[in-house]
Amino acid sequence: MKSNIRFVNAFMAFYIIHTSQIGMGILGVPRIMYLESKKDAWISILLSGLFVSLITWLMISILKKNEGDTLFEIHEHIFGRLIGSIFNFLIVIYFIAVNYSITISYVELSLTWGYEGVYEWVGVFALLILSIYAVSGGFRVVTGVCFLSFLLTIWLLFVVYQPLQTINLTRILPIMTTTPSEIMKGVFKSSYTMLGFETLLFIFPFIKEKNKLQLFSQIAVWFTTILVLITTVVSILFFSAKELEKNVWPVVSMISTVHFPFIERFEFVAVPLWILVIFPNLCITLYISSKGIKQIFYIKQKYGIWLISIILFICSFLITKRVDNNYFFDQIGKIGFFLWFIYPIFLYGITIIKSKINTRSRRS
Amino acid sequence: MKKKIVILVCSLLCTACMAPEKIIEMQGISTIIGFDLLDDNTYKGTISLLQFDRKEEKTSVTLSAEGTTSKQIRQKLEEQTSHDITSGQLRTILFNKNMAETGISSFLDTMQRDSIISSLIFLAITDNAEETINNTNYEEYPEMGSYIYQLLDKHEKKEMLVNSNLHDFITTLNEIGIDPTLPMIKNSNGVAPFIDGVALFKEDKIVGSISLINTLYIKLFTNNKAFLGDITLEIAAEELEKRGIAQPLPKSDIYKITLHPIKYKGNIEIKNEELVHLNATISVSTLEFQPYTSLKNKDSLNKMELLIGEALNNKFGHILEELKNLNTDPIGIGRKIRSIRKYSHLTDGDLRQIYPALKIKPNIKVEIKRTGSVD
Repeated sequence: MKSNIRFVNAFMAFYIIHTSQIGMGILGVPRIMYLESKKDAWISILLSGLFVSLITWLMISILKKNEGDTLFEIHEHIFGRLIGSIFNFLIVIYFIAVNYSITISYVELSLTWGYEGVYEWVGVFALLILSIYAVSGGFRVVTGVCFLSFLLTIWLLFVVYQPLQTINLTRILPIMTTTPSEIMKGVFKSSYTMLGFETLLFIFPFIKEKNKLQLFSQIAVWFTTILVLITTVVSILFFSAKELEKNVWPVVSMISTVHFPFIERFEFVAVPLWILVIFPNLCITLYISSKGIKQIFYIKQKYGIWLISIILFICSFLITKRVDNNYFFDQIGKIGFFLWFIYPIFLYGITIIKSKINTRSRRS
Repeated sequence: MKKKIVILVCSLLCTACMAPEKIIEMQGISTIIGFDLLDDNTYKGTISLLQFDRKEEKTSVTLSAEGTTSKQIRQKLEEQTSHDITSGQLRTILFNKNMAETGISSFLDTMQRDSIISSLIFLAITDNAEETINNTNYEEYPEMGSYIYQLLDKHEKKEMLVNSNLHDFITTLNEIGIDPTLPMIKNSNGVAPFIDGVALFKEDKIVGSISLINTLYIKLFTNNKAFLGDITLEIAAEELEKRGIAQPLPKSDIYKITLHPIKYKGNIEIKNEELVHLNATISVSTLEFQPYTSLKNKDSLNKMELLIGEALNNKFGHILEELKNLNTDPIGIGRKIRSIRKYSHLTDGDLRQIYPALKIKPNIKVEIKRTGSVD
């Protein structure tokens, strides 16, 4: 990468963070939340949003303390080359798993909606080729993908207007009937959807105006929270309890009641269009994991990209059943929760101690 | 650069990696499917297929087959035609009345599971689905499926049908404290099928029916944007006299009024465990007075509004009694009860027990807003 095209503007962080948060998760989140915290799922989402917002603030503080580094470099500084590399390697594996979970869930969705009988690897292959092409262009191309994907898909929000006509407000009443522990479980379960803000840890060196980053990343995080909140609330109002517990993709089922005079079955537009929503996710996860490979093994990033793509392609022959997928997403949600909701708090503590030691040793 | 172009070309090629499965000439597009119960476990399915071949004079073909599940019926139907039966344009599912008496929810599973089937298709009840679909009177439409779809669609949008598509039905069926309704289609010789009332369900079993006009009372409380349909009332002359409303000329024993609802607002108010108020206000314009009655006087207008309101409440009271006797709750009173914190623990069974003993007080207010171009 040449240094003159290295930086992007701070407001681009909004698109990067927002688009990497929104992906396959939002299609299924109303059901997952409803299974845990019932009618009060919206409270869980608000809490989760608050939590994410705090963590984002923490992450930026960590990054500011370690001038211009990514998480990979921070790990090496703090833990040393060997242990740091092990940590980094785990993170790379996590991102590969996330990438695969997004790919396979999209492939699964498109196989249900219209492409039944096609092998999973065909879909995975197509998505991989696309993301390899984008990531090979470097960070600025990835940013461009995020920006374009946002503009090209945000209008889908207005499609909710039609289901809004048949909602029933009594379905969400009475509020606050679930126990706090159920609400907290909902917060925990929402992690798969809300994750994506951790991208911040890896894009920091590429942002031009670093003091504005806090503002734009907070906007991004809250915008995502509001989108997830809207979809969940509308789904709860739209479906009866039993239906919501049954539907794998409540949002797609809801869109299937949308019709226009010129398009009768809007879900057949929405499902292919969703490729634009997940495309930034794929690019960013592939970018970060290949970057990590570069950091650990000192090889060129493009070899990392190819290596990861081959791993992903091989995976597409292994985990393909609905039941396995569910388990897989669940595990990723859990690991992601501990890695990005809990771990930054420790990291923050460690950085503070480290910087104190540094200043003390400098003084003496 | 060369490499990038290769990658780009590869990804472009990948976009169309699909076998050419659906060729329009090969498709037999089913627009309606009807199910009849033969005996315990066998059903007869009848479909109407649209034909695209221009050489053929007939625009449609109907086929029937027997089987135990809806997909097995479909498989057997495939044996009878060279076309590939698709259900992407399926608009209506008809159920035989005797099937609805034993429950239809098991048939709805496939409709929900199959992503090809839209969730906006209509469900309806008929006396004999096979005969209805084989009826050859379908006005100017190419075949029966299109006709019945237009019939139901028009009625849902412009007339007095409670929403009855697959999504609405399944949602109300699964929801605790509200029961679904479906239109009933009557088939008789020599005329096109027509809508004859609305079937009332308890769970997924049909228990009774009400006339189309009476669905007005259900819609007042379930849907806030529906079309109510015109209201016609007959008022005895003595009643007018008793209340001191200006007597119209020429004198007559019975006065008939037709009102056209403009706007309405309904609200279910739970007073306590035993008492429920159904409050509604309807603004109407008067369409017809027989014989001519003048409502210039504000006082007599008010009295008239009261009188009409009472008449509606009276009628609604009778309907509610009937609903309570059948123990079916299409208005969703149970749902409203459950939305109150105190009663949110009530289960479906509890509500079924409470409902028949519930005191429900209808409280409809009418507001005559316009009187047309004369007053």
